[in-house]
Amino acid sequence: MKKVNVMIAGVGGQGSITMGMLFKEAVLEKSNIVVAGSETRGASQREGSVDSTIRYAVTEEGEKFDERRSVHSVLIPAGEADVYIALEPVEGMRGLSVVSEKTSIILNSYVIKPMTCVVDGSPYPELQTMIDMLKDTSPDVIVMNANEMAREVFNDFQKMNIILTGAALATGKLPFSYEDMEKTIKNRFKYGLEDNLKALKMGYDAYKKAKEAA
Amino acid sequence: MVIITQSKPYEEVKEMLKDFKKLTIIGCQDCTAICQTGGSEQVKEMAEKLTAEGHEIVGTLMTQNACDARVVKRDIKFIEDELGQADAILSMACGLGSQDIAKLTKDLGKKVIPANNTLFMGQTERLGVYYNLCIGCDNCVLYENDMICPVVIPMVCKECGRTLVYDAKYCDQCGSQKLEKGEAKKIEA
Amino acid sequence: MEGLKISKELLIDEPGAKILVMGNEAMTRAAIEAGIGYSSTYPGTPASEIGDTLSVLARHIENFYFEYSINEAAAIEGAAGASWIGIRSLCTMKHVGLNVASDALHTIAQSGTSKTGGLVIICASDPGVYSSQSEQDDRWFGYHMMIPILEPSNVQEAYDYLLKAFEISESYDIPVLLYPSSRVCHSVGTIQLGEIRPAKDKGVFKAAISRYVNAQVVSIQNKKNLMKKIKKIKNRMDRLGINRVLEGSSTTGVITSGVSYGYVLEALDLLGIYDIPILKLGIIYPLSPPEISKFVHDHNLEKIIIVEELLGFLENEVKEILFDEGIQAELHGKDTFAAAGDLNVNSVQTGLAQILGIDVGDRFKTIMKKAQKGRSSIPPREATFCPGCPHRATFYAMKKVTDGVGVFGGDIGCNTLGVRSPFALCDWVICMGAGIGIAQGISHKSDQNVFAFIGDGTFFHSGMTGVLNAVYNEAEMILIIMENHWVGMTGHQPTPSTGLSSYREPITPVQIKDVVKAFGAKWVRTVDPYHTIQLMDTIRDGMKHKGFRIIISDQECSVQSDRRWKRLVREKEGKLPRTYYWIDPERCQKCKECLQKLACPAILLKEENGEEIIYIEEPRCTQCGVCYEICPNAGISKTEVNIHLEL
Repeated sequence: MKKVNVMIAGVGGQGSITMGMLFKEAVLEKSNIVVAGSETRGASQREGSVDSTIRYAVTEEGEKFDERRSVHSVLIPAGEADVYIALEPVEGMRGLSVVSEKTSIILNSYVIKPMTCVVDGSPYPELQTMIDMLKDTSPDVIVMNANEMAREVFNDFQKMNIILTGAALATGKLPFSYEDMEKTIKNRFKYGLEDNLKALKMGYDAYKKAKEAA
Repeated sequence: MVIITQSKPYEEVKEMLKDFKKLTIIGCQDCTAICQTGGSEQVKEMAEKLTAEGHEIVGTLMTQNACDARVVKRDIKFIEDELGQADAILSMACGLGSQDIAKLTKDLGKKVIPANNTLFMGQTERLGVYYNLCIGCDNCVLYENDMICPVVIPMVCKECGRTLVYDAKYCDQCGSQKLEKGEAKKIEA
Repeated sequence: MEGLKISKELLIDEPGAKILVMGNEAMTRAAIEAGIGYSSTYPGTPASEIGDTLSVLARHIENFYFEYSINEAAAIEGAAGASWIGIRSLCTMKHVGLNVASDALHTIAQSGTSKTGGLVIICASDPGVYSSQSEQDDRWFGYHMMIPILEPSNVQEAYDYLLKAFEISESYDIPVLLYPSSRVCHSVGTIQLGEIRPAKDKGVFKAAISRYVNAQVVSIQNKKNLMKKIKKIKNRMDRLGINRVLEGSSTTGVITSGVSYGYVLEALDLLGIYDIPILKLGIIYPLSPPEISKFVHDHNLEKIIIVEELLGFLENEVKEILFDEGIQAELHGKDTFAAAGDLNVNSVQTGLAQILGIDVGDRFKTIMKKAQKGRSSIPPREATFCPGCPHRATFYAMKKVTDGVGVFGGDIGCNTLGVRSPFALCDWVICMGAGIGIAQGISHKSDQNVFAFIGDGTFFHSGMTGVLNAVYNEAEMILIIMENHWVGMTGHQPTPSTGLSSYREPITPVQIKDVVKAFGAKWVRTVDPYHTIQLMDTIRDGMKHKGFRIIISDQECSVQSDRRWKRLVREKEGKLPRTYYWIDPERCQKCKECLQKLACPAILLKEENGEEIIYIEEPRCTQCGVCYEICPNAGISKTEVNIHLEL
């Protein structure tokens, strides 16, 4: 059996909960995958951090399901994240305990300053400093500004989380296919299917391109 | 301070608007709201009246200060499409505001029609009671005159009734030297 | 109410179907399948979604009664009544809510439930204190009340155990507590649906003094009956089929329950150990001495590790049994695993490795060190009032007038956020109603200016008694009732001042000002906090007077009014009067009153060409107008647009 762990760290309003649900729904039809996870609730309208964890336990071909080797905890143990999606840089820094050399990190570089910076004048760290700290935890760091990518094509930030979902797919580490996610998006969203699928591809292609350049 | 305005007679406004079907109305939350010649209720009333006459009101806007170009420039963006559809703009602001609106909508090529007459910079006692106690002479002598402005008090010619400046010595119309102190301009509704 | 998007799914009649749900939704579905006819709740994180889902689904389920009760005492009493007349009843609350319900529940346990109408209480705990004032360990109520407690480990068990709980309640004529932790309540997993049992419509109360009138001899007899029931459950534990053993050949064994079970499995997986036998307890009170002995003897255990969150309740029970049974073994528990704060795979792994003498190596330490470095280099992101929140306006007004000088009694709810910068007007948080409760005590023996805050949900829950007490005993202080017409923090449930029934249908709201006036409060003022200048004047006025004064800061929660507004805008496709608040960079004098003293999250600062620009982020602004009202320099402009007029 194998475990695949995904963490999405973000701020209220960015859609981390919706993203988390998409990742979970994508494997519902797969009888050999157990999925568990959690989302922070209640903090989103109140400017707080909102995280989503998605944990998969995959029973491979020819194997038998073993409770001792499955996923149970909703939180990801230290360093066990396979994919770490930081929807915002500072939130990316906050969740580092799940990151290690085996993690593929996707960082959205769009900044949302916490109220403490605005009101108390706490300094917001330099983006490059944060990227360097991430690279210190794992060699696999891809940075993209999904908000600006969304704004350029769709005129608002809303699709940013679908773009990053596409990027996560491009890591190749998720236990479901690109088509599985397309199907899941179709089932979940009543409107804007074309735009959502476009955003998914945008993120996928951007990640692949950045990986080649790296 | 408030720029005191009075509504033009409705017939006059109607006449000016007669060739324009689609209208946008702009009111101002500052002076004309205080004088109740261009506030939100007056804009609403005007829109109702004009619609009954057969005009089509494509939009109304209440601006913070029609005389502040920075504000009007931004506000025009809110109703860009509606202004595009309109045949004319009815300004319920004061003369400063109307000119500001006209200047900033020049490119759209729409006629701007003023709905109000502008009177003076006034001190407000209460609604309808305003005193012109300052004419903006740029040489304030209030301190030397016990905080009462002498410049706003005109001299009036006893012979021909002409209103002259506060320190006039003779009438420039009839030549008489028989002048007496008049009263500061005021409105009492 | 994120989970409610799929709440209709919870009604589908497809036994065998698999759905992805949150723990709370799993329990809700189980309750529907159990055919409950009565459900009551007081909102409390992490259980709130159960009541919310039921309130939406109630009208679609036949013979189903649901209520948002005023507090947990009312909730449990109502549920007991329904249970006594043979209706399956469910009462849900958070862990501290059990304190409020416990007065009644202690004696209800003595009187029992009924053979056909079980009574199940879902009491959701909060280890780690993610959204409460304490992480009190409610399992000890087991000893105190003598009612069985079931603790699920995951979403599927939350569903299974609820169904089981009703069976136990009816078999043994005893209320049963289901005790999920926040991790279970809010985690997402799959459940397989079962058949839906129809709910009973009505029941008949049959008098029985020896059962229900608890006093003197009756109480003693009822208590003895209760003790007998617990003994019976202990002896028939194997028949209940809830606890189970994961086999292993090692002579070190683990006893655990709840989410800790999952942590143990994953920790052992990471350590590469698969032969440790595990006794997974689903019923954590009472424990069965035969069951514990069997586990120890079957596996020849020399070492027993008890992994549980919070205080050593299981450890206590196990030690008692081992002593009574004369069993000797090396026992570990709270000597290794923290009694405060929640556990996780990391801490359980560290603890097990320590006990088993395994070196976890440096990898773990390095990861945690880097994580700590990352965390300490960033500013905190704390929850604060939403854009447009009337509480922000109220606290701003209070801060402006008092400058923070005085005593400020804090209470539970969104108003607790008044502790945050830049307001810092919350001197204590103890429990519901303790804002005014403690403040009045101080007011009788101090010359300071004493204030207290309370929300309307809390006012109805346990604040009314505090107000009446203050009036009756002539407390010298000002109470600010922050009437935003919703129970906000827990997800916007209705309260008597909302104007919506438990089924979310329109009703006449209770006017808080009428309630306090009926209590005899003489100085009562109601102000809309969006008229912030007026509120400041009212506070100043209040401070000039004497006696017990009440200021009702009355304005609806902006999340709710904004939701309605956005729905209306969508319906009308944007064709309705709009108001915009915006800041002209030149008119703005950068005094930062709006940015830092009002601290609305929709007002931000950016740098453009070396200049500081303060601006309002339009999508976040709810057009409350408070910034416009308090700007000292006419820097904020208000524009009202009416397009395609509908006069």
